Formats: sequence, C-alpha cells, structure tokens
Amino acid sequence: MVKFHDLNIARVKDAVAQKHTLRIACRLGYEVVAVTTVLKNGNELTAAPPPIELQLTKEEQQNFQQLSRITVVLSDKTNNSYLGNDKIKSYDILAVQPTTEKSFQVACSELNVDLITFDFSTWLGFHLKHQYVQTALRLGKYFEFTYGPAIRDTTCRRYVFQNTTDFVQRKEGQNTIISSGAEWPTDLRAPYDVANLAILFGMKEGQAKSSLTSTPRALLLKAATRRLTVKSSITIGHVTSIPEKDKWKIEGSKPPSTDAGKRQNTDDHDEPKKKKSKKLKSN
Amino acid sequence: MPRLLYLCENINFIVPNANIKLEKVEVMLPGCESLPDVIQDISPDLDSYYLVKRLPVVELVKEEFVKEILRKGHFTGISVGTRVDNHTVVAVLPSGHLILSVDKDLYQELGLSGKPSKYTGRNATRFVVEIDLFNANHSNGKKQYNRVLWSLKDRLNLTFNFIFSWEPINEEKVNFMQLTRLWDKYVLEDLSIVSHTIQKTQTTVVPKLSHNQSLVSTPGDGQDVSSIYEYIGTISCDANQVGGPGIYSSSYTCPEPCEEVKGITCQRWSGLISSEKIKQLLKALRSFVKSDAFVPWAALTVHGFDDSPVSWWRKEHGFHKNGCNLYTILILPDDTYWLYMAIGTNDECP
Repeated sequence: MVKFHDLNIARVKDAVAQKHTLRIACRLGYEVVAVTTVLKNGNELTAAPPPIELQLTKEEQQNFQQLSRITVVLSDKTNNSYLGNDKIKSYDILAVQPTTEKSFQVACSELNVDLITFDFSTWLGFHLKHQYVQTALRLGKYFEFTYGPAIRDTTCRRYVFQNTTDFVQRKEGQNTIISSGAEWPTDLRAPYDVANLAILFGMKEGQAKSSLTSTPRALLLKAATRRLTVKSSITIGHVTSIPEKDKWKIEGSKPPSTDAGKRQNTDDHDEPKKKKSKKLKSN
Repeated sequence: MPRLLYLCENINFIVPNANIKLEKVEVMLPGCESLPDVIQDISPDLDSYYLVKRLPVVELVKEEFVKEILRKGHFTGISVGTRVDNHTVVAVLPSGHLILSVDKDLYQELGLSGKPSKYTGRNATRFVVEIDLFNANHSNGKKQYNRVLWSLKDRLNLTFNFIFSWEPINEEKVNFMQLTRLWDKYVLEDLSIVSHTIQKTQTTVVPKLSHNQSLVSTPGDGQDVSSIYEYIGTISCDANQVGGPGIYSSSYTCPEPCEEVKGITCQRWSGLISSEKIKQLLKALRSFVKSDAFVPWAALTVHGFDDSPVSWWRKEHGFHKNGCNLYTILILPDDTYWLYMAIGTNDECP
C-alpha cells in the first residue's frame, strides 16, 4: 500500500481557513494533498500558486506533500485550445468537469487531461455513456467524485449517494479516486472512514482503499508524464539536477569519447552478422 | 470482505511463544482484590525498553552489531511512527532476521530481493524483504554483506525512530556500554512500561468455566465461547456495568453458567514486552490458580503491535482496517487452558 491522497481540497479566499484545512488533513493522515483552483472562464487563467506554508513539525513536513490542481469546467461553448499552454502545465494535475454530454464525450476521447470529475451534488443533466467511459479508460484517464457535498447538505447527500452508486455499479470502481472537495476543515474525514464510505457507494473492499492510495498515485505518475515528458516516453534533464544519492545511476553509463564512440559504432555496423548454420542430421 | 477470525482451542500445554512483537499484556484475576505478590515480583514494569531516534537501518546489519549484540542475547526491535499499510516498517527478531516491509517505489530503488506481500493482489504495491543476519554469508568481505550495506546506506539512507529491548543471555543486568559505544552518534532514551489497573472490590459475577465445556456451541445459547470472550473483554475495558433485565441503561448480563467472586483485578502493561516475560507470567499464573481456591480462573491477554510486519511464526501481518493480532489464554486450575486468538483481515491463520 502507499500513502493516503486527497487530491481535491478547494482553494478558498480565507487564508487562515485554508491553512487550517490543510493542517487538519495532515493530522488525519493524508500525506499527499492537492489544492484545487476551479476555472470557469478561460480568460481568468493564471499560473499555479505556490504551496501554502504551514506550521508543521519536522516529521510531518517531511511526509506531507502539497500539489496544485486546476479543474476546468467544460460546457459546449467552451474553447479548449488553451489546455496545452504553459500556465496549465504549471499545475501538477489537470482535471475537467463536463456539464453536458458533448463536453463529456470530448473530455473522454479528445482532450489530453488527467482526471474527469463530476459534481454529484445535483442531478448531472446527462447520462454517462458506457462507450465514452471505456474510451477514457483505454486512454488512461481517471474519474473522480467527491464526498464533501454529502457532509455539507442533506439534499446533496441523497444526490451524491444516488449518482455515485449508479456510477460505481457501471464501472465497478475502476480508475476511480475519491476526494473530499473540502472547503472547510469540517468537510474532511479520516482515510479509513472514507474507505468505509466508498463501500457504501458500492465499491469492493480492496478498490475502496486503493481509491485513496494506489489509484491516486498512478494518476500522479500519469500527470507527470503529461507535463514533463515528450509523447509520454522520454524526458531530458541536466546531469547537475540529479540528486547526490542518485549519481551512481549515471556513473556506470558514461558515454565513451566521441572518436572511440564513432569507431565502436561503425565497427558494429560494418561487420555483417554471421549466420548460424544448422547442421542437418544425417539419416 | 474484511474478516475477523476468532479461534478457540482447548489445550494442555503451551507451545513457546512465537516471536510476535508484543505491545500490551493484560492479566485478569477474578477473586482477587489486588494483584498478588507472586505476579507483582515479575511484573513487566520492572523492565524497560529503549528508543533510539533517527537510527539508520544500516546500523542494524553491521557485522559488529550482529556479533556483539544480536548473538549475545534476545534483541527485539521495531520502528515507531510507521504504518505497515502506508510506510516502510523495520523489525528485528530475536532469531536474527531483519524484516523490511516496503512499498513498491522504495523496493524498486532499494535493490534487495524480497517477496510481494500476500495482501495486495495481482499488482503488488508492497514487498517484504527478509535478511538473515545470522547467515554465514552475512560477514565482512562477502558479496551479500557488501550488497546489503550498499543498498541500505549508499543507495538509500533509511533512518527510523526505533524501539528495542535487549536481554543478554549470560549476564544478569543489561550492560549498555556496548550499545552506547556502537550507537554513540544517536540519541538513546530509556522508556518505561506503562501499567494501568482496574480493580473491583465489590462482589462481581464472572463466567464459570470447566474443562468439560464444549467449544462448539451455537451463538446465543449462553454457553457460547465467544460470549465468554466478549464478557471478558467488557471487564478488560471496564465496561461491564452489568444491569440485568429491567435496567434501562443496559440489559447485558454475564453468560450462563456464572458464579460470584469477591472482586476482580485487571492489570495492563503497555510497551515493548519480551516473550520471555510472557512465559514467566504464564508460569506464575498457572501455579497461582492451582494454589488459590478463591480464584476460579485467570486470563492472560497478549496484544501484538498493529503495525508489526510479522505476527505468529514469522508470518506476514498486514493492516487493512484493523491490525489486531492478539491472543488470550484462560488458565484453569486443572492444568488445562483455553486459547483464543483474534486475527485481522490481513493475517494468516496460525
């Protein structure tokens, strides 16, 4: 198992409340949290804000990781061309929240995003078609739903349970993460309680716990490949950026000098490979 | 589905303790108003255990440590503040095994061979690395030794807060000069075992046990062994405010057949307790129950650490929603015992 993640803590204007929420998340046992900025209009896009300073003990500071996340609300009229720009790349996680069926289809099949999230506190307004969900899974995208609205309001609670059980039954919890969407510290619950809540939503035991641990970890790795790599295959960094403890990885693989390297390479190509001859058995 | 398994066995002798990390011990004596002197003289709070802060794991594998400390006594240690389902847990057993329970990322960087955990399904996210420190290949100059040192120090310098207890075989008192000399760079703290007493001096009702009692009975008929265990648990938690029928707050009663005793003493010790101490307690309780006519039975409950990487017989222990690995021995005067074992979801039945 891995650390507990809560990848949706809402960014609020009140800095004191925000610090308090993060501190409570740390004390409850979450070790990786992401502070979410919601973007409804493309013109309001700004670069990722820096992590919030918290007064934690040394050991807590060592284990607690703060990430930044942006959730873009999609509708049919949204122009999505800015989703690849540098300001978006400055955020650790890119999530989209579709509000119509067409935007859901676009999010699942065309957009290069990490996470597709839903507002389950009200009726969605569209059906989640199985083929779009399968397309998203095939492309390695993740789904998310939040339990925060269920705590805040009794009417929302009914909707949250109805929508999540319907969603989980179709997909059986595959590639799904659960997060709090917490605006206040009182919206947060401990990881084991959230795992039990996930069972009420219809997930199996193992999936419930992995929706807080291994699935968000896989999502973060996928998000890193989107941001930092070229076509999810290669990333280039300078040798000086490697930490001291990892330098042994390059010491054993130093490239030879240019002349010797060339000679060595040409030798490999010039000599034709000797064909192995099979001796036929004599009868 | 998570499961909690209770086993009950009726046995005539006890197999020596099987290396689990012991966090709490409880002794329950119905018929005694205070802890008898026989038990007081060997109570675990006379011992202490030690905390060393930010100890690199490589210190536990060095040949000097193995020769001067591990081979010369019973050394038991476990890392503190680490959860077995989220973090890396380190444990050292008296048999000379170093157990590392690591997650996938650390395992891929560590470079030591281990086995995937049984409790993580097809895509293993947790691995258990076991190093036999008493192996002949684990000595200076050998490849295996150099590899282990390099992985734990040069590759990944893992450090933990570690609690341990050490009982030298040939000496009466613990001589820490050797340990302080080896670990002089690190902070060593002496921790004492915490004891907690629940005493009831008024007449109390307890279950009446006999060696003829069937261990296979249906729940709800009052003679069920799990009801007896549940009642003993309520006494241990100081929650057995027996009301009886008609009492508003609680109609929970002692399972039949039951008998009245003058009082109950329940003593609990928390900390790192060695298995040798458990054997001494068991022996003392056994002779006490035989000698004192007012004590119908005695119960010895031993709890293991929730976050220990191993439990009985060095089998892997995990933590899903709970990590209980405890056993209770009910000692009867006629030299028979009832053994209850409670096993959590991520545990193998011993």
